[in-house]
Amino acid sequence: MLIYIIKRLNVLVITLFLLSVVAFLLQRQVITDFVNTDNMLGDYQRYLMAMLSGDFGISQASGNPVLQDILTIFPATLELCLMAFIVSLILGVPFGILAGLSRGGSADYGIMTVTLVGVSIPTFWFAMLLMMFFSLHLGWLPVSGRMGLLYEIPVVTGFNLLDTLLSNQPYKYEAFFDSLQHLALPTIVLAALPTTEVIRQVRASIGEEMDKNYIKAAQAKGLNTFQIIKRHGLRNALPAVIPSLGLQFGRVLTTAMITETVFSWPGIGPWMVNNIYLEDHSAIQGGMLFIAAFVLLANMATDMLHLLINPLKRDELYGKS
Amino acid sequence: MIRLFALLFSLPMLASCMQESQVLNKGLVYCSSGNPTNFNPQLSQTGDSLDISSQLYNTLVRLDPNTQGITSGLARKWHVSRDGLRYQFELRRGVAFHSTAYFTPKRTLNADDVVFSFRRIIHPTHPFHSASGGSYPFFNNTQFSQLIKNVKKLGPYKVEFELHRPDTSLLANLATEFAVILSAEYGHHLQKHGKNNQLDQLPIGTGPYQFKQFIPDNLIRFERHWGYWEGGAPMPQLVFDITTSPTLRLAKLITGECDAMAYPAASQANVISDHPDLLMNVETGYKVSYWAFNHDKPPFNNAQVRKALATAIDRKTILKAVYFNTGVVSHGLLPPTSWAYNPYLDDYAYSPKLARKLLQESGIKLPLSLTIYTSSSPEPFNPNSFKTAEFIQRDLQKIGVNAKIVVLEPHHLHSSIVNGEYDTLVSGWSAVTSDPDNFFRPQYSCNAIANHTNTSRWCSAKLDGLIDQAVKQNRMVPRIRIYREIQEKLRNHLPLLPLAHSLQLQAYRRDVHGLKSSPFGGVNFSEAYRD
Repeated sequence: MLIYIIKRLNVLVITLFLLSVVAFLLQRQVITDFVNTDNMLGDYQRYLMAMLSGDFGISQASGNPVLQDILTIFPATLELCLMAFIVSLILGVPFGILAGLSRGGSADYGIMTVTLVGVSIPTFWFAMLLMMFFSLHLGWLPVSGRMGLLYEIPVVTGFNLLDTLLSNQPYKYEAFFDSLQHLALPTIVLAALPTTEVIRQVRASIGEEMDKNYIKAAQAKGLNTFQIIKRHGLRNALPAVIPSLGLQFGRVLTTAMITETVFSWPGIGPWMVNNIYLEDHSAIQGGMLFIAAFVLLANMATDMLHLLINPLKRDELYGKS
Repeated sequence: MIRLFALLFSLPMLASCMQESQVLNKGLVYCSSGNPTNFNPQLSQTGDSLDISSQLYNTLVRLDPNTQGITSGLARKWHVSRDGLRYQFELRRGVAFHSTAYFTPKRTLNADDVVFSFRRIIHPTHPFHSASGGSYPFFNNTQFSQLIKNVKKLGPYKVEFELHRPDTSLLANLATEFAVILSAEYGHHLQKHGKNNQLDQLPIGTGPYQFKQFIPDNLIRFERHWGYWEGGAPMPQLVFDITTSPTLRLAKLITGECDAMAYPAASQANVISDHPDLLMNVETGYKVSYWAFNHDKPPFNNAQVRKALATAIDRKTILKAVYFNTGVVSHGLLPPTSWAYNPYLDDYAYSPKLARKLLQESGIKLPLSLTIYTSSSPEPFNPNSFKTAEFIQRDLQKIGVNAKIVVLEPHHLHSSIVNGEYDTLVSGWSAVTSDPDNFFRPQYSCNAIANHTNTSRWCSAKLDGLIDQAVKQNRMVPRIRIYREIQEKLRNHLPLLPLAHSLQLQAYRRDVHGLKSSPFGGVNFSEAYRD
């Protein structure tokens, strides 16, 4: 296990190193507040030290250190992404099982058709469609932002749902529900992509597991389908889904930027777009490095999680199976 | 699992059904259009900074919304010396400044604050003159520093403005949202701590709301100023929701996330007036769009040609198609709400037949070809200059005049204006005060050619004389008479054809009351509430 972690960390360090080289070469092309000399290697060394100590420079737009700006903004994005993953699991697993059980049947066709639509629908269009219907036509949900602006909630964690509950305001539950309402539409839009992925993965692995002999044995014992899935099917099917979720993280983060811009969600998306307009190079670069590093770390973390949950994978590692 | 599902999805719906929220009834949300560059309107000319002005600050005098006359503000009364060179203001007593987390005032408003606020602008050596960039666009444009010799304290509640020359438009300038009164005590406090720039970022004023929080691209939070001299505002909280897209602003207004919105687009007017929950304030703004003829380029120095072209233009169609009827046809440059407006001017009515005849009689070589220069982006006085130019082009075609439209980015258009490259120009003017001088001087005076606001490039010593005479005259009736004469002259000479006055729109929800707006674009929440 330890060796595996070290191996995995090695890959991470090398990827981050390559990333920093690319970013460094890019920043040499544009004027930033970072002083360049003729000595490229020396420059790179100083650059790397600055990055490692979290010094991404000063944002020309806000006047604050870039890292500070990112850290205040990023929780909003993370909150949205986490909610989207939760929703994708809640929706994806049961529908995936249903599709997996009735492979080739009408339920399977129905679910897979919807999945296909979910993958191919353009994010911004889907977002606007939902906004038109639920907000403007029905008036059920707000069109933008994280929370009604009249609620004054002090920022503690940066996660609105937590912050509302942690606050001492007399209206904290009301503010919590208001946050949920604001989350609803962006979450649905953002969850579209990972949900389809979860459905397809669960469908595939459930389909595979259900053909195996131990399931047949369970059936012979007289367990009903629900019990079989609960006790055997899911346990063996679910771990396979985890690494694919990790890989999805990068895509979800990209989609999140579009979703955020449509719903004026004050996360990293509108922040990056705004900085691109303002040509704030240190902020763009800092944001890019931060997001890339975050995605890499998230991938590694899901790999680790997979390893912890799935003992079979560990055996594979050591060539035991 | 299914139960969890149902619960999760019913939560937001449930919350939306919970009427009677305790917080939402205690505040108003205004969808503003952008980040203010700072919190001191002295330093800026953008609408976003104007919108905050009336919430945070007061001015010495005010503009009466009904009569367009000057009424008292922080100054209880004022007196103008006989030669028109000295303006004395007597200040209201007991006017409290904001008491916030970053500053607690120890005294109420007095003459020092007024002196501080204006010396900051006019004295280059003032410790705060160059704080926050040291540029005062409104005061530069109105040549305030060249007009004011000194601002001095005569007593604890008495201030005097000493002028270089008589100028009756001073009061109108002091009534704008730019001429706010700051706290001298706060200034000295900041100076002692070496934080001069903070004066314009963390504001202290006397207005109905005080500053609480600003998150760029997100919100500005104000709270009620209990000590407000006109009585505390009805709502404890006011939030500006910064939303740059006009479409999103309207969407938020429809869903009720905002109670009022800034700058609805002309094309949105129909949606707003058709919606059962929304109301719209319509006011003729102090803005005008026009079609200017470059007098440096013959034959446009020929009055007969200009009149022929003017008669050919169907302004009502432009109003319908470009302004979506959110404007009125302009007769003369002044809007009908101005006190100097001349209602007796007969106008150049649309008649292609007459236009053709006038053109033939003018004796110039036909067919005539000309260029129409215009801006590619919407402007406060014209929602779509390019479309306006296209209509003019079509109308000219009917009388056999061939027009070529040149559309330029505002920046490039400006350099074309500086070089005088155009034959004709579709442009306009947004006045910043209600004073008629603010229309005539920039558009028609000889000096304004060098300032590039006189785009017809017509210079008449006689008209200049009249314009100067009008501002020196401090009695109203003779002044009106001079302005009517000016309008007669302009109507006959026609250096430019005024097209339309755009209406100042303001959209808000039906349950909001007491919202006030200024014809120059600002909004005032001092008496606004929701029922």
